[in-house]
Amino acid sequence: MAEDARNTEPSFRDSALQYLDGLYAYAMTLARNQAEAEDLVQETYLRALQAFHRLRPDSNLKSWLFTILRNLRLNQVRDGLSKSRVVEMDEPGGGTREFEDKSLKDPLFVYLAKVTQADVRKAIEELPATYREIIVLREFEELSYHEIAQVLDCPCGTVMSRLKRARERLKELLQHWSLATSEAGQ
Amino acid sequence: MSQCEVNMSRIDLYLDDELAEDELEVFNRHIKECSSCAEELIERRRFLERIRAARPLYPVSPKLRREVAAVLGELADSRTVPARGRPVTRIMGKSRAWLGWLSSRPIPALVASILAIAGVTTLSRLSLTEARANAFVNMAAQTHRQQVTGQLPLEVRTNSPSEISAWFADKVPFRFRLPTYQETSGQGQKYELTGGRLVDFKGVQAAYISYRMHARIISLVLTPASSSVAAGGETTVSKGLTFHAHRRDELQVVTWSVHNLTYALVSDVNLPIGQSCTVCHASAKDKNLIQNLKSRNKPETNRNNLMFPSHADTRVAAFLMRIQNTSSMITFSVTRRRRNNKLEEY
Repeated sequence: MAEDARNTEPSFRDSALQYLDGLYAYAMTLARNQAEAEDLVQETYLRALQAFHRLRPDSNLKSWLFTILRNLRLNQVRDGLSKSRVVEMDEPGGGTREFEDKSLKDPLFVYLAKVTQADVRKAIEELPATYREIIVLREFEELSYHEIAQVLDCPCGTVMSRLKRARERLKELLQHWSLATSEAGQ
Repeated sequence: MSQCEVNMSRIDLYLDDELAEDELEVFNRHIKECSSCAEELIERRRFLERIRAARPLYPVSPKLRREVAAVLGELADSRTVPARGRPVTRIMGKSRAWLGWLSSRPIPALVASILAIAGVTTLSRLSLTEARANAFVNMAAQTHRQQVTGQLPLEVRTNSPSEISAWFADKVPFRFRLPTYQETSGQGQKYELTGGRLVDFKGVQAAYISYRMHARIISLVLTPASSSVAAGGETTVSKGLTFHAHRRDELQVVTWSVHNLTYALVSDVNLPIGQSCTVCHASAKDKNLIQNLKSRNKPETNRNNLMFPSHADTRVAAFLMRIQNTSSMITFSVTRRRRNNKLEEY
């Protein structure tokens, strides 16, 4: 059995490293602190390596790793081990009220043309944690709804509705900035 | 609900590749016929493309990349990966389920569980260092075996320490100078430098140096301390250096770190760490070094550190191994101490 376990480790090592960028981005999304995010990623790999033998061959390694990271973070927050203490895991009650003025909606593509990469990053960082993480998991890590549901431990329907709201909120943030920038330039 | 409304509600699913085959067929057919739905699809696609173009959101630092690669490589290489069978899944489980599990335990079990969690966390961190140290020991032992069996030929053959140092100068990311035999021994020559070669350890060039003593090969591996660590095993402290003696089957591997380098000395000498050093070092010059050691150290404070359990009843071995990567010298000396704490040559 020990021999079997050793035989599985190289494949884990080779496969797991390709998810480093995604895991780090997700860790930053949750922790918003580089040192804590780096610790989270290292701890994730350590835990994964320790438990890898329990993973079924047909399991999804990527979503499994993201799940480990998220649970580690939840434990940190729960146990008060996080220094940054900035993770709010609840969805905002206000929804999209702030930017519901339809007059802000620019004609097709106009605002998108003004949006820079830095704007996108800033807007994502301004999202509530629940929206932020689902945007990262879907748009950046390209996890399927099913995989996201596994990571977030929620039904697929919740993933769909939350993702929809997160995108709307992100779009509104960017539109708002775009309009503000245009007005400032006039 | 009109077909437009149905399609509008499915645009995100379409863009996320989440539509079932029959839904996809209906969706595509409608988009070809409906300009407003097609326009909405284009807008949403452009929006997502713009969002995704911001990737990477947070670039990974080279340091983290190296560290993770080391964790994965070293833990997998290590035979002491500690947690197979440990209750890691409890820690990783759902937080609510975990709290529920805890609340269902009787108090002693609860305490034990909390201790177990703390233990797992601590052991995880400890195991990381141990695993890294073990990986280095394993590499050194493996390199030694390959050298002994002829699978890893030397790239430079010389008995000149200065030639060895010069050969490595532009090949490894650190500098060192080997001492001459006379510098380290001062006695009739028991061992001879035979050469060296480059070896790879975690993607970093390391120096392998081979010595021969009669028919026996002794290997020295040098790596930057940033890529390896000396830890674990039987620990001996002397002159501010900590030596770690490990067994790998027939081999003894002694590791230590100093001046930003980590060293591994490998041989098949089957003796306790102190005695094994006397194989090469039992000279008048060593005695001078020992006297020097005596004058610098307080016997009262060093005695315990210098004791080796297997010899504590009769003697204490003082083990000095001083290596300066840029200055001059590798020095090994071993002494024994009588019960009255007087040093004498061993």
